Amino acid sequence: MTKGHLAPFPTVWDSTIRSAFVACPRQFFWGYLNHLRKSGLSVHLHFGGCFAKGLEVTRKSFYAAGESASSALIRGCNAIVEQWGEAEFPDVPPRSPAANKTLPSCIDALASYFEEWPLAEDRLQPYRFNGVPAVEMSFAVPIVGTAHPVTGDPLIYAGRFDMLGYWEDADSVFICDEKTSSNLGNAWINNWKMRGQLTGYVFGARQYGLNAAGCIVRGIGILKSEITFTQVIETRPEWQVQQWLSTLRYDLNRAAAMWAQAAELETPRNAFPQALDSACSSYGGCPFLDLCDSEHPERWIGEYDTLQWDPLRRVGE
Amino acid sequence: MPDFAMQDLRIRVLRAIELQKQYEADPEHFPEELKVQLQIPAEEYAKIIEAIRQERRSAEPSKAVKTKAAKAKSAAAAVMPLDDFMNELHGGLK
Repeated sequence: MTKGHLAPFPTVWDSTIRSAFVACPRQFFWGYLNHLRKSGLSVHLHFGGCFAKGLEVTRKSFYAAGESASSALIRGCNAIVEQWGEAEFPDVPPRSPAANKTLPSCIDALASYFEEWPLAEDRLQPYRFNGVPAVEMSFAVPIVGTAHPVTGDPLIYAGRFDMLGYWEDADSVFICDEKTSSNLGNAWINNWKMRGQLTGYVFGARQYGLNAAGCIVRGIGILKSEITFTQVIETRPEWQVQQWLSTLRYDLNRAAAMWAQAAELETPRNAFPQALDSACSSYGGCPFLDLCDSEHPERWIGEYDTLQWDPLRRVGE
Repeated sequence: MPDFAMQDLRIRVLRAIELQKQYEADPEHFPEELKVQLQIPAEEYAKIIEAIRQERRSAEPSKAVKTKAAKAKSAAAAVMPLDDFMNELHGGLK
């Protein structure tokens, strides 16, 4: 990145990119226009990616390939070991919650998950398209009412969820999303009431003709010596989806307008204002603090890696 | 010494994956004596997974962890019961 150079505006958006933009437009500028990433691997992202891979392989082995539950679990564990690779996190403080996110705890979490929700008896069974179970699904939908600042085409909203399930008790289709966490208390449960990521999933499913009633969020608590679980059911009536869509349009068009303004500036980042509030310190601190608290951020960009975020791929793939 | 079972599993799984690639690339010339390492027997694998879990269970949780676990259980108990949810879903209360 050189002075005056402006990176292309993203054509495909997802909840992660939108979340960065609404938290702080400058965070979006560094992370999703210039694709900067703090050097080193995040234990949380790595752990979550390995666990999701284990779930996917176990479910596909059982529901699609017809293997036994025990054989499917073995395949899931193999997938975790392979994806974990040689990763080590020596900088994680030993007594912190992050220290619980290890390869053994990931294997433990997978085995415990399928004890809590056994493959054959789980009330939420995968929805099937022509007999194929809907495990790991992605969607990409053009958002009418938005425009790319260069091409003028509608921007695309994409997402990927763990499973589309049919819940017989409710006679309804639900999106199932698993979240690993170190704490599954009330604060965790209240996270999902308004969460746009979930509303976006429901929107995506409905665009493909599936009248999803909402999302089931399954929390997997990774503690030092045990695994805990919580399940939250979130419905999304159509008015709420439309409310989300309207907000999404507003945010995407606002980002496009900032980009168009940046194209006229010698220092494009100045078109993306800093939030200068809790976004700078939440979740252990914004990864771009070293850039924002410098008068000459260009001097620090070399400390960062470059990695383009792909909304349709999982971390680690 | 922690993680004995995990280290054993990790080494064997990675070895099996590597051998599997060699086998798929050239099955005719794959050494017969290595075929036994292509897969860990299911019963043995299940025992290793259980050993990994037992090693973790035997770790003494800190007071903070106990509090977190208790909070999670209490929060889970407060989640809407299925019957209430079904009423809400089909009763149009939203």
